Amino acid sequence: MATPGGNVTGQAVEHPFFFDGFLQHPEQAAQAMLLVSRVARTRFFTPMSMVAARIRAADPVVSCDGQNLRFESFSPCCGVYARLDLRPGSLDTAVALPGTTNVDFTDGMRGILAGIGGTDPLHLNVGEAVTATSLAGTAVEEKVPLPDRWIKGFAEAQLSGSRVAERLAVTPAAARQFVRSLPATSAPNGPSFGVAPTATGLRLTSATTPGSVVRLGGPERLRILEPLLRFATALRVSGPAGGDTAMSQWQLDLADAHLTLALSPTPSRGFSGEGKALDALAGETDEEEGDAVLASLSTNTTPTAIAADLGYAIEQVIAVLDRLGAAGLIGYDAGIGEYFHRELPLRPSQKLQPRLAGAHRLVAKGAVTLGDQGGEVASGSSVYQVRDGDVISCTCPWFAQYRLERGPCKHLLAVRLAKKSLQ
Amino acid sequence: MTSLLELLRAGASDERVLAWEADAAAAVRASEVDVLKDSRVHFNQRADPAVALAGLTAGRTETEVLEIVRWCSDPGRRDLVDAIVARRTQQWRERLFKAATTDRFGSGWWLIRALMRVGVKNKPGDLYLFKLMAGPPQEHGAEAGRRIVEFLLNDPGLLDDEIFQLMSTEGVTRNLSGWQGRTPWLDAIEQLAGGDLRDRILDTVWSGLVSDWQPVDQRPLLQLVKRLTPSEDERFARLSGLLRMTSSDNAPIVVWALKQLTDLLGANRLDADALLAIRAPLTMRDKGTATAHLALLEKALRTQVGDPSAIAQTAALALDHPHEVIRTRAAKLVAKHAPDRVVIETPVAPMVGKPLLRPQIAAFSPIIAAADFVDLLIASLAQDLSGIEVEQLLEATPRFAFHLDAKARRSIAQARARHARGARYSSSETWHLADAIAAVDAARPTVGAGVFSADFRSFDVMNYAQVLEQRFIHLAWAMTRANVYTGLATPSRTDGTIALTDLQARFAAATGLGTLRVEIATAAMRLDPGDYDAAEAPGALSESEASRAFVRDVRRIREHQPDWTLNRFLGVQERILSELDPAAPAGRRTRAVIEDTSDRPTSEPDVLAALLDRRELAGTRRSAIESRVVWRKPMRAQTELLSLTLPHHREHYASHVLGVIRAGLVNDDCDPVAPLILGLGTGHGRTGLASTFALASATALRHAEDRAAVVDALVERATYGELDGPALGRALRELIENDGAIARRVAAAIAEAGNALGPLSGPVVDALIELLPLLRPLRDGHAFVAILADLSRGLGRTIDLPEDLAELNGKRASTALARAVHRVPVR
Repeated sequence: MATPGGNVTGQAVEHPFFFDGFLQHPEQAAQAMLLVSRVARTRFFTPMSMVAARIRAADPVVSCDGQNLRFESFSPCCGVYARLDLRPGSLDTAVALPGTTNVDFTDGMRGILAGIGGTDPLHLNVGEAVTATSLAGTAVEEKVPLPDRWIKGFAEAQLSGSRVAERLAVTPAAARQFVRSLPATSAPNGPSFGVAPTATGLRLTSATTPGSVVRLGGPERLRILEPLLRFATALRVSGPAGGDTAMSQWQLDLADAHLTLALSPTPSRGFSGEGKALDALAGETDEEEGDAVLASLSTNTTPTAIAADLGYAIEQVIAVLDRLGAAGLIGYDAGIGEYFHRELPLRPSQKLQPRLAGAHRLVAKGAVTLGDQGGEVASGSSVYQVRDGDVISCTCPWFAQYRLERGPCKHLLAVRLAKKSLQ
Repeated sequence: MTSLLELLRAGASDERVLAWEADAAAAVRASEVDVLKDSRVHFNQRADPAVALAGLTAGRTETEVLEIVRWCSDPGRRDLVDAIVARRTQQWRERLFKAATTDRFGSGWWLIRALMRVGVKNKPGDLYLFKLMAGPPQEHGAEAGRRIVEFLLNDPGLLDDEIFQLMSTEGVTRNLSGWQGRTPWLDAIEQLAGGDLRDRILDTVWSGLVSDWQPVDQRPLLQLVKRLTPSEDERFARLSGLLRMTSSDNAPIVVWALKQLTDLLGANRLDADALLAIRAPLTMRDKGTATAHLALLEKALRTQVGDPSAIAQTAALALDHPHEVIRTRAAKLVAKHAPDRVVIETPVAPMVGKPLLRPQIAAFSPIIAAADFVDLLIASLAQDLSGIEVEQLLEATPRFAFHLDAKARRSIAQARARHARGARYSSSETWHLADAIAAVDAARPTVGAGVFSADFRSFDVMNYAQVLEQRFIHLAWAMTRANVYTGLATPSRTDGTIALTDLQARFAAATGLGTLRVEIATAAMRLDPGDYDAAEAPGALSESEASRAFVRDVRRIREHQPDWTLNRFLGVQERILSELDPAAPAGRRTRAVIEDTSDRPTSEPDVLAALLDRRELAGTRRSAIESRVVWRKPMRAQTELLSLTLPHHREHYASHVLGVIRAGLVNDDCDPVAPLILGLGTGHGRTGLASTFALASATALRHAEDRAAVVDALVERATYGELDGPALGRALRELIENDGAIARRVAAAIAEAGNALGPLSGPVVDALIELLPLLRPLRDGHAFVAILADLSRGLGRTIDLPEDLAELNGKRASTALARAVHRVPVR
């Protein structure tokens, strides 16, 4: 699977090129791009059963919306998502059109980026391939296959990212002090920590300590930010509203750029397996509605603007955005509070979600018996009781283990699908 | 026909071997291969060139050849090898090449190389490079470096390409470091760098050092460049690379690059622009990089390269460096050349806060719906519930067990069956409930009034984990009998405490029914000691055997107030250590033991005794829970239930966790015990030596979870005015002075707690004052004084320094300790 051809000036193009120009703040941009690529090469968690096996490290997805140039990546364990948003002030462009590609940052490219210092110029040409040119030479990276789990990860990271709110912002000095104070290791399945403000900055607390504003699982993962802290003007910390789940988002404000790092609840949990997007994916799919919102997204980047453009209700737009986000087709840029389009190879990502596929199979087999507030689902030799009203629960082992922390179980999804099919 | 192996061993000429190859019939070859396959199993045959040559000559398929020669060393006789390979078809050679370059076993590099010489053009991957590195040095022993050079010179193609690939492929370069102290490849490259290849080698090494490879891959290149000692001209020619190395994440590379730049600066070959473009090293946490960078800037000032003010602006980046010595050095430079950048501490009005009242604790909420109960019970079999969820389960089970419908029973039975074997952790406690629910029926034998525990007395209750299990077992038993009252120990609030009014109502409801011994004891421990008098008053509780047992328990709890004394004794381990290291301080040759010197009576082992009757803490005798926690991470419910069971008895709580915490002091590999440490901050009741010593000990633990927990516990106790600062200070002193705790860790925890407390940090200052007499000779003593200075300024307090530190106050600040002492507001 690979990223498809781009969408340049509204036309589908098989071999597009959508960005050509010099980068302002070249050293900062180069270091930030290296950080995104380092995330893609760093395994923050190795399951016991995989010590010998290695999942191939993938490399950044590059996309442009005509204004901002973005580099996104996941760590091989899928527990860390990194995105660099280069704002218009960072880009001295000849061409900047909407498009997406996925390239491997090999040794040559990283060598060029690592060699950018001070005011050395850095020129980027992004199309099917990415070409970086500096005084030291040129590196060309070709498009590579995009791993399936990245697409699932994009969906989860987007949904989580659009539902967090900023909890804290600290100065660069406080950010440095905090990141330097983080432990080098922590238990992969250990409890999350909390982060609480102090008079001078931030401190790591126990997860349940009153006063902690976000949960932080595997705090050592944040240390990857350290090389970039010298360019930062602020560190912003965001977390979900209830603070129940430990996903956290860390944004570095840079000169004309933002670097966002989203951390999964614990190092052993990857975004691709979280399952928060399953409900949205299970929703009805109106291709025309989705296409209209995507088309509108090229000029309107907030739900309100899209609703005004298309004459839809705002709730309808948000639902469509959720569905598109769940398919990985859009991302949310918290730095400017806008959605952006990401061209990915697969439209219906239900295939990639075993839980959702399992739910569809159960419905197709007629294993669901609906009741007042839920139903019964026969699966294998067991029958599970599902409640889907004021209280949501299932008597299956998945739900017993995770409850709703990692999205609905397949029985709950099957009941919802069966209910929808009756409507 | 004579055996080929014998021919080769007899020294047959190339022509003779090739003639054998041309004449041999298929059967002869097959027989030869059989002999060779047998011989290859012997390790000593691997170095026999005859086996390798015979295998290559006689083998028919590429698999056969590889099977024989894969472990063979280079047999030499390159012309013969090339001639044999050249006689095969191109397709055969390519198949063998593919098989050999993807074969993860053995070396066979000489064979790959021979195939390349005779025309296989495929580009080999990284495995080929690994095989190249693993091959020759092993073959040539101690003189490997020189022999590798010979080997490379004899095969010029290698010098054009492979040797540079070795130095420029991430993941391969790490093998240049060699093994067992020998570095044959670095030796060889160093020798090669003495000739025409020097510039190319230097460029390749430079490029690797500038890259963002992993440190393990850059380390050999740094070793190599240090051996090559590039001249001033060579370094100057690669100045831009040196400048880029200063932005590396790899501290040793940054330090090396800065040293080269400092040398170039001394030789007037580094201009001001380049100098001022270096900024990254001062922002790294590493002390060495910042030191090297400051040394460069100081040299620039001495040699008058660059604007002093601009240099000082760069130095200002280190004003918040984590290392005090760097901050001070940078501040000095900034103060002299850019006084406007000096951060002048604006005097902040001292602020002292009053301890807060503990907030009202939420009421315990019982489970309302049967379906919620089923969900929680099923969840309890699969995951670690919180302590309060376990209490909800215990309270709800008898209420719902007899009214569950068939579907709910089936769901519970399914879940129980799933967890019968291979559960991820022991959830055996809740199994009892699931089993009891499966067994309940209406025809339960009736039990009269009384307190039931005799059935379980044979099960010696020795620790609190077993007390918890007893509650499950007793409850399960009670559900198989009619007329047994349960729920006596259900907490009224989420912190585990029980209100006297609730208890009165429960005893009234239990009149005439049987009750459970473990529930009575747990209820007694959950009652506020302030309510004891009222509970003991005649008529306060409905008259029954259970209420009489309850009052007896309350009296025992009153009597069981320990009077802890810290003693030190010489244990077996300590005796051995003192013999090995007679110079160790006397204190460190002993083990701290906290003993109960009160004359409280000894009880028969029962539920209450298991929780209250600990007489010796942190000694050699570990309680079962201590052993369990030391070797295995405790379940969340177990750790939380300990504080929920002893909400009013901090010292008893600490008596169970002290040993666990101190085990972590001795052994950094112990699992984290953060939930137990957090319990030291919550709860009510008097604090004494056990809880203070446990808190102090936790400050020196290694795990981040434990360290965050102890800061939280200190902050919580100080916030509510429950932290005895001087007692904490004495415990810390004992810990550092006699237990050899790592002072840096202790100081970091204390500093974090002090900063988090701000105006409420008075007890932390009191603790630090107690530590002062210890600090002058202590290696990290300055860290404690620095915290004391910061906190006492914030609180507007003045401090009496002990004589040895006061003496420093009058002198010029030349050490970190003296500088810290200068900042302390002295009385």
